[in-house]
Amino acid sequence: MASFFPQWTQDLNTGLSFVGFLITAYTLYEVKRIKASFLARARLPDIIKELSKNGSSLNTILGTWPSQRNEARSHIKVSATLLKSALPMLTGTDKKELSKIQEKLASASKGFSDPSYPNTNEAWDIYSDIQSCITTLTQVSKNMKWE
Amino acid sequence: MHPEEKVTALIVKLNKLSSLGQIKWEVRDAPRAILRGTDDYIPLFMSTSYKGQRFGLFEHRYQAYDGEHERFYWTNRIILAILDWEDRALWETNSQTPALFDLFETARKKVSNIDGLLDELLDEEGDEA
Repeated sequence: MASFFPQWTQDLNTGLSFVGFLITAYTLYEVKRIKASFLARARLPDIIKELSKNGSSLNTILGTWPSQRNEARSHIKVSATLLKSALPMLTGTDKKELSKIQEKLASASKGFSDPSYPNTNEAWDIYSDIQSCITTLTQVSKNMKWE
Repeated sequence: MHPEEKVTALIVKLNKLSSLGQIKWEVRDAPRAILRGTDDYIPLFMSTSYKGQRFGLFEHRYQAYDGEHERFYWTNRIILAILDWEDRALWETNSQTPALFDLFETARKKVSNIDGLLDELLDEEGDEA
């Protein structure tokens, strides 16, 4: 049976459907990005606050190192978990850098079964990494206010 | 490295050196150059030297303005400064970071020798003396 519409309208329809698909895909991407941005704006300040508390507790422990090693381990473990929850909110080089530190902290908390690990310098390096993460996350949080 | 990260690295380094006793903080009166011409107050000022640079670390109490309620109120901040030989602040930290609070706590603990003081006060053998 011959079509009521001419061929060019069908071609136009196919073309517009394809454009509609692209717009839908872009909209879904934007919705996901906006959702991530809102989540980050709501969650990052809390994560930074918790990470700061853990860093300060570690600082106190470092003053008497290594007498409270097990307590230090729990703070490092919590810091690694907090960083893990912050990673999905980051992009680009910030995400890469913090991901490396997160892996380092996670493996450091496991390495405490060795009584000689971490030595004083290694413990201070871990504290330094936590402070570096706090600085990066604070900058990311500030930048988000302008998005 | 981002400038903020460099400042954090310096603060952490000073904190580590202070904690390990490799640099010594001394309590001093706040330099007049910092307070001159203001109503501000510095309850604790500590200074040290590292690699030929003089550092000042202090709590700065000052009045800020609350535009919403149209009034002044007292607030405070911790400052790490590089000082010249006439106690002028050549550079100051401009943000309040956890690393800076930690450095202040470590330095304050060291100058007060709180750990040694508590050990001495809790020493049972010395109770009879």
